[in-house]
Amino acid sequence: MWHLLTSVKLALSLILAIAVVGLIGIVLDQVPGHPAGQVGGKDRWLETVARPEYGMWTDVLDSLGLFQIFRSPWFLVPVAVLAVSILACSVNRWKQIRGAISGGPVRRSPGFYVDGGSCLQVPFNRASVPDLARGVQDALGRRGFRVRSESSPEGLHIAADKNRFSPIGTYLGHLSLILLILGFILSSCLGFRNVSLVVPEGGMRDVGMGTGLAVSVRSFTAEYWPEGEPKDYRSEVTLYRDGMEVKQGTIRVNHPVSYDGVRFYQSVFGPAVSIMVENPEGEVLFDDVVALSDVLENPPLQRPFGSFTIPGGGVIVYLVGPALDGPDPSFNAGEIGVKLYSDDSAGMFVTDRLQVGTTRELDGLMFTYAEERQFSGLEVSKDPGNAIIWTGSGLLIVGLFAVLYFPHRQIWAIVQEDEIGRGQVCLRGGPTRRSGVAADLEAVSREVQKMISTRDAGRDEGRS
Amino acid sequence: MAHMESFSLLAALISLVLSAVMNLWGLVSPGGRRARKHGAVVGSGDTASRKTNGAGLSSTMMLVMALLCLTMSIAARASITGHGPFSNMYEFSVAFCWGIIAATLYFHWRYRMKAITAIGVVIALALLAYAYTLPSRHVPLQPALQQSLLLSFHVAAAMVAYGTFAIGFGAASMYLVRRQYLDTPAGSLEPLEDVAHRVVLIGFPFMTLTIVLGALWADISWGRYWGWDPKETSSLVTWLVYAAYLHARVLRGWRGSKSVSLIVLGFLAVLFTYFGNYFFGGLHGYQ
Repeated sequence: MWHLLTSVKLALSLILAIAVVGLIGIVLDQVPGHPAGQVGGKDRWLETVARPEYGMWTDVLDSLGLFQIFRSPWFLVPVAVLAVSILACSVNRWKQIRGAISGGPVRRSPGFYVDGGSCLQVPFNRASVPDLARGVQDALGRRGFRVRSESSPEGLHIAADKNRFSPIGTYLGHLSLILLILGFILSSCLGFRNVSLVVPEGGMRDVGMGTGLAVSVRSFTAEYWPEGEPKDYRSEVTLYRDGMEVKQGTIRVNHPVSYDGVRFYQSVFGPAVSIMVENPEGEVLFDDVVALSDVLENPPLQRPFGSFTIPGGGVIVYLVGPALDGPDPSFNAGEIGVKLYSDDSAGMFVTDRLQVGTTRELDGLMFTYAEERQFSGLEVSKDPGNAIIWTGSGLLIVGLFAVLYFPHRQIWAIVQEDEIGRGQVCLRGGPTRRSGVAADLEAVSREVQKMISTRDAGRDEGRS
Repeated sequence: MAHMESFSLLAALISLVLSAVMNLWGLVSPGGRRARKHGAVVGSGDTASRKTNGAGLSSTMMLVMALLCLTMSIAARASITGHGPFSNMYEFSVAFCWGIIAATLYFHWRYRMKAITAIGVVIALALLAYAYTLPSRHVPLQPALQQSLLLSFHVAAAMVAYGTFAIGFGAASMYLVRRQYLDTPAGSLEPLEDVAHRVVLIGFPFMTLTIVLGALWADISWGRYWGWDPKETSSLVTWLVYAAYLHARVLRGWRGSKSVSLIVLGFLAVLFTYFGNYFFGGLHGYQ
């Protein structure tokens, strides 16, 4: 079991399996991933989006969980097994990494150099053994290696290494994946996300989700480039907790405001109207800003609408604004449509218009359309996994760059004197044969050779 | 400035065409073939023949020229728009092309493998030609894209990753063709495999960086770091394919063709990620 868990073959199969699942998740439309528990939302999605596209296959695909593949066992099982496998491999590797950092034994048997090493014979009298040893050590030192040496009756043993902390990078890289998985689980289990909290200018709305927070939008501004493209959206907000003001701030796209782990993002915006309703006695029944944040399909026009209920009156009021995407011939400037419905299924009983800045009597009530305002659609999220995700990401990047850009390299050498006093240098690179240490080995042996030949030249000069 | 942008883009295109012609000529011409016969691997070890072969040198010059012109064009555009090349497909494509040319030059300088250089040049040319078909109007940034520093790094990292992966694709497909159809012994193809491997070593951390910076931006802009948007998912799939390659390479049974074919697959995933916004919607739906 342990053997299977730590095998590269398993890791490879899992990685490829997750890639295939990912591919399916790209090709097949996925249920938009808003907070869990929106059962009705999913059924509606299946009927309106999936059914027209996949027809009779819809139910099969759905029962296989393929429309929510990243929450299905297809995805979760291989990821979980991969996480366990990564942990097992990390445990397995610990010894190896400690060995790499300490550098391991300096002394190696001569046989170590026979297989996979190479030896350089120094012609008689060209260089003394101590000179040779110093030459090798200097050459290694110049190439940035840490050099350790130990002498024995066999000769001088040298063990050199470079980037010995780099294997920790492999460790970090793999363990950071576990962090990322943990962070992701934390985000999806403990976090929440409300993609449209509609707050009209001058209004206040509860955030809910157990936060005890409420947000009011003091003002909303949309700016445009001279070409007409959107430039900036800004909501000036005040946050309240249990009725007490706790924070003021400006929310812009890319500049969320956050309080106690809850973050507020600018999402959408649209028209709103400030409405007051009084009864004939002059008692104010309703006085608030109503966001026209829904869309009334009235092809080719799409008109924004919103609604509110008059307290105690059994009357639901619908307000419809002029179309946003083009001129709307049915409305004069500053005009909105108003429809009154009774809440006892009797249906609509009044339909009329309101003009900004005026009061009008409808069904015995006085409606004052005080002001044209705007609403701001905020996205509210709390993500306790965030810190773990960024820690994991940082470690992953540091680890990968460390391993792949500063690979661990080892060179062992033994400098010996044979029976008749000739020097011999044997070199071997590591940690594995294909670890890219070849260039360093080549450079070191070239330097040794150069040292021998310049000494040679010097001697020749001296002689002449 | 606008003139300079379009003029240097045209100059880059012309240099790239010339370089591609010269490179391809170098591959099929008698001189090129002779060099190939002498070297064990395509173009490897033919430094000497490159020196005598004028076409080789001037094709490199043309490539350097193309890189300079492209740099000028990107810089001129940036000075007009006030931001890096990240607001639409045209800008991405020119930047991607820049990355491929830079990677081609780097690997040409390091390894001198003609076939890889030629494939790099052809991919770069295809991409620049594609960029020419895209609308290049300067459009002010929509608010979500007004995050210049982060986005510049996001795109720059993608440029390095995609550029090197394109070269890896060249080396890997060359390896597969020679191994499968020309029955070249695996031993003599080792340098090609090495280049392909090196490419992944260089590109993979940058691919990771691209994804992480993208997630960071998504978190700042959309309020979540990961949402299984098709573009996000397909970048993850790309990352997984290259990760699979890095693991496959150490397996005895996967050495050679099998692991190298993962690099080809990886680049197909890169292209899928890159052009993905055309066939699936999602938040990355820039034109």
